[in-house]
Amino acid sequence: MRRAIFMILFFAFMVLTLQSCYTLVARRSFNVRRWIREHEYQYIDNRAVRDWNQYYWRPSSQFKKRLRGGEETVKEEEEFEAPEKGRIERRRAEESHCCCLESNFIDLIINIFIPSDNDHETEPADTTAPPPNKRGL
Amino acid sequence: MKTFRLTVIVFSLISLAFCSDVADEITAADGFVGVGARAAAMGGAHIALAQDYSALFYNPAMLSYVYKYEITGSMMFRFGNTDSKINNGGWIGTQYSCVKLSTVGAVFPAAATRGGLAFAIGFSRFQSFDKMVEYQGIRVDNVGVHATENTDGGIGALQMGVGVQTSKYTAFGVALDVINGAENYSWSAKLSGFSDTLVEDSIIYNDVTNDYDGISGRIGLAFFPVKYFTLGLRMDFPTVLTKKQEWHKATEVHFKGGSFDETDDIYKNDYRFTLPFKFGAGIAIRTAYVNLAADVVYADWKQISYSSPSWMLSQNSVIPHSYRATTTISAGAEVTIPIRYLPTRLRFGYKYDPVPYDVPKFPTERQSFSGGVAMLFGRSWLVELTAVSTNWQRQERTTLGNLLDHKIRMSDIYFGVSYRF
Repeated sequence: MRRAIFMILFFAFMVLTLQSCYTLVARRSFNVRRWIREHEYQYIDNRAVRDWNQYYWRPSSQFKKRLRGGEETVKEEEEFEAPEKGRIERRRAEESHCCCLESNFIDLIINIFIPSDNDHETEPADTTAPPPNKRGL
Repeated sequence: MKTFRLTVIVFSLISLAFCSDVADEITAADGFVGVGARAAAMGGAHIALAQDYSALFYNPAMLSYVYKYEITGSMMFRFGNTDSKINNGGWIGTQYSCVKLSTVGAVFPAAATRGGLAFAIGFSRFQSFDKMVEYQGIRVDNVGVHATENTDGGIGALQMGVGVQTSKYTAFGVALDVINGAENYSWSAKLSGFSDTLVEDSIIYNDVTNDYDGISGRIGLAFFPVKYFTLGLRMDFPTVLTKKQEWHKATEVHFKGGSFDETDDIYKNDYRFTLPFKFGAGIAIRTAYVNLAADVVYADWKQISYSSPSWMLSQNSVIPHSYRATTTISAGAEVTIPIRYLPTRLRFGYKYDPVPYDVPKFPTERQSFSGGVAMLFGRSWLVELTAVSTNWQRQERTTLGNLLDHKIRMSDIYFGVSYRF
């Protein structure tokens, strides 16, 4: 069981590592129009499904409220975008997340599938076997 | 002394043939039900289409396509009907019903300006054991039987997971299940017509309570090359389960002279076993008015293995002969009805869901047909209603040589409400 938890935590770690590869989480402002521009390739824009698109394919209205400077103006977004984008790209160049994978995680994965002597240390003690035929048929 | 000898004979008849080459049925390997009203309505074909809390169960990668906060809950109502017979006797029908919580959960997306990232947490009940069967007939040794078998309970999990878009066209997700559940089994049988003995009749009671705890998880991938098509892949990790069992067995033997004998035993055991990997793949095709989805899920149940107690390890050599590999196939469609003030979608689904046991036999494999309706209120409230009809037939030869036949029909109704903001 402990190994299964380790394995799941490892994959959770991978998610967080991979997250930095593409998805950009806004820290200061959130612009809905920009969001729509970035995501319009994912959904079918049709009058018949407009309400459903509002449900499935629009960002939460809470994003703007929770982030500082959430005014929805293109100008402000552009002002903010330039340094933010540059900063992220610089971080990627200077602090590659690939280094995280150089640690012993590969060994950990391999060890997960190889049984060890301690694997059954918490097993319950043997007790009496019940009768196998519970129906009397 | 005579009474004692007769009692021994009766008990021998009742519990003969302990040495079986058939593995015990592990009910935790079966009885899976849909998670979420939308998935249930589409036959469970959601590996490439889930875009709500149910993605935690079907494909956590699809969580990354949830862009609003979501709070969701659903209930399941089961109406069952079982026909059964012993040997060449007549069919006897039983009806039963129950109401259970299906899901309650929430999705928390991050404010991603590009891509998507969402975390989800909640409880899902994905296995249901609720069933009742009544038997009436004559055993092969001409003893009459009238019995009721009742099972209730299920298995669910506290689930948490995260999904993230890793490129413009791909997403990755992982989920952890902390499993908890219970199964309450009772068997009550009256045996009569012992013509060659002084026994008038005998009554057998079995009350078995199984409490399940365990852990599992899954990873998922999603490929979203164009807006019209999605491919999903999922791998469920082996599920490690601990079953704490308390078995109360009581027997009463009534003799023709009016006297009686009774026994009462309680057995307590802890079992640990592992259910195998499961692999799933699904596709979804989207158009303006229709969404289509299809899934295939493979599991080799022959790989179930006990790790304790030691006297159960012998079952591991029998399991490959009693279980089989299964391929579950599901398909579904969702049609948008353009009603101006009440956006509505109709859903239809089919699921071919073979039972993991190879013994007993299943003359008719398990199949489900489903349908449902979803209505959107104020672009934020989604109300869903789903009906799933499941049928299969089961035939088993008991250890005493009796032939039991069941025709099982279940109707599951899901009612779900989701709110997005």
